[in-house]
Amino acid sequence: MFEASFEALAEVAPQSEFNGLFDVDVKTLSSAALARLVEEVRHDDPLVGRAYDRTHNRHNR
Amino acid sequence: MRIDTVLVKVASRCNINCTYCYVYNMGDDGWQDMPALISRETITALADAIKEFAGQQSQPFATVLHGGEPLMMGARRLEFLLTALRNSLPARYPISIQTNGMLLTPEIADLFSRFKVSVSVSLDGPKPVNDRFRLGKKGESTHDSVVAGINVLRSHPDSEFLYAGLLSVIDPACDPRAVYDYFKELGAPSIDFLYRDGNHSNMPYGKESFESSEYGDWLGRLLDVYLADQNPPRVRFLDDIIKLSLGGHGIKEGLGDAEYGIAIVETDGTISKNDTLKSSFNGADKFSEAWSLKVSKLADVFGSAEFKMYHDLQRPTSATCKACPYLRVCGGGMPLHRWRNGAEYDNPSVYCNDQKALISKVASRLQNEGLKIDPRLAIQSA
Repeated sequence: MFEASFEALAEVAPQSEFNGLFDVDVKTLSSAALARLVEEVRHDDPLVGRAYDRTHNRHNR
Repeated sequence: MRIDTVLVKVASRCNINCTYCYVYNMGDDGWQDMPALISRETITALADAIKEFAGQQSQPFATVLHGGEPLMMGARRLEFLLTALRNSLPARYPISIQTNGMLLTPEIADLFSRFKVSVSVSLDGPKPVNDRFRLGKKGESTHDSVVAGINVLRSHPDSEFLYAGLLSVIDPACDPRAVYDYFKELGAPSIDFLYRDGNHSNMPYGKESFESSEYGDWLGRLLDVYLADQNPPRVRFLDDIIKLSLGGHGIKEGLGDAEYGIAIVETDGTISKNDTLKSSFNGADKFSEAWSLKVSKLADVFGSAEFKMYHDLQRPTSATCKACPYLRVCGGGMPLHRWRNGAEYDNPSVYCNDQKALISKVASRLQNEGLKIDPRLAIQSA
């Protein structure tokens, strides 16, 4: 269903570029928003159609 | 190229007259040539066209109902439209609507619940903030009617699905905390903030010069409020910049390096470019050929050389952007913000320094939390 390849995934988001995010204990972060966003980046996956659940604001108008 | 959004102008007229509106008040007059409302004949052609296109593109796309004010089409025609769309598109294809909310009734909310249409409402803030620019046709306040519409959504049994969030155009003269707190009061699950439309030849309201950063400073103050909130809603603009800075991905047009693909369908079935381009010059959103979905196949239009040229416009072309260490997060901004008479779109965004100020502040906040920013960003934190 999704057209991105694993090669594309590696190019877009190689593990090294997560900068140790997998080691961050989100409970130590002072911000609830940051904790959520770190989790989201950890699970960020170009193969998942994440942009298609609530799309109102993908385009600015 | 993938299309992620088919934005349908179901009404070319509006029941209010926001002074900053790119459709009516920034020099474009294309709306005058369009039928006031999408007809049943065009709705049927639209449903057939997108059904065919859904069979040709493996990735789902969203259908966004837009205007003018889309609820001006009324409940009966809306039901006809939604029946046609849902008969053409499975549930995994989102349908949503961007509205000023003033015409929302329980009957319409029921329709949206039945056809799985989520609703985003445009509101700029508390009454004094909203009513500065979002006015009725006689200059009257719109705030109370908008909030009444929001309350229709909030009180509906399906509110968790229906009420997608609020969309707000930034007024850099107002207090971002007051806007944020007010939107939380209104139970917004998601908030998006937009830059005012404008360009190098028509400097946006509240921005003194290309070098100034009033909007970036405003968003920076909003960032402080957002990160201090222990129960925050989603704030799309900030979320995207934070995620991109951490090495992740954003979803918004005009930020980051993700591709986006949008086609606009006018009330007569004509296909046009990203309608926000209207703010550049009169007719900027028109293709040289007046494609209509009643005649042309969507896949053929989207596969054409001219559509590709329009699509490629999302990538900045200026040497300044290409060499900029902020580019992976900034993305070069929206094409409409790059416009300059003469040089056209071959410029950095008019909000370049606002973006830099905000991204630097985000980088600083991340580093203060012990988080490392994406090594591809060689930016200086604030």
